[in-house]
Amino acid sequence: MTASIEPQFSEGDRDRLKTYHREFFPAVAVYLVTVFATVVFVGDDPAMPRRLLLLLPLLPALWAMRAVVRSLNRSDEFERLVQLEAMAVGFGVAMVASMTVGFLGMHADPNRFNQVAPWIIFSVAVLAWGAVAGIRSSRHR
Amino acid sequence: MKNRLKVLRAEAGLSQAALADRLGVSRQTVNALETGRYDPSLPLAFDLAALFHLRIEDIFEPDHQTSVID
Repeated sequence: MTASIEPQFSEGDRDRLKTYHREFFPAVAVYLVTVFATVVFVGDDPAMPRRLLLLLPLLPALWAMRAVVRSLNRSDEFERLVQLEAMAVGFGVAMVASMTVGFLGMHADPNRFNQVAPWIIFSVAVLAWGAVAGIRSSRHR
Repeated sequence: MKNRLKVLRAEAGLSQAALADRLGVSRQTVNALETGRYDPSLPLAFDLAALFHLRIEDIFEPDHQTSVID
């Protein structure tokens, strides 16, 4: 029988979402722990071998990226199109943000500016990706 | 492309979610197809046609007719 009110998710949608959450959120949790641990235990200006420990959060970040790629592989053709369009916008925003901070950096204190610039680029690109994916998806709910 | 998907689904007594599960796609995709905002790939169009025991052209109709080669 046709449901009078359409459920937002099908069984398959729920399964795929559960799998994504199961793969993504542990990676984010480990990422936060490693960021905190490196900030606390490695310090501001460590010597070279110790400095490599600062790269430790990259491992859970790659784990999270793997979860996103696997989720993309599980998604159907329309969802993939929406996500890839959103990622393309995110990439474009990252390029514009890179140029913007690059120009601004010419006249800023380089030490201070170089610390925050990558995080500004990362944040606006991820926000753009999420916003476009959210808006495009919400039209079909 | 225009399509009769919403009518066919209603006639079959299926919800969007149920149709999505049968096709192995998301409910969002079924909604995008029904509203004509997304045209399916050929494999998905064939799956839809098979599900309703119809031909693809019985479900989908192009917005404009291309001239035929004589």
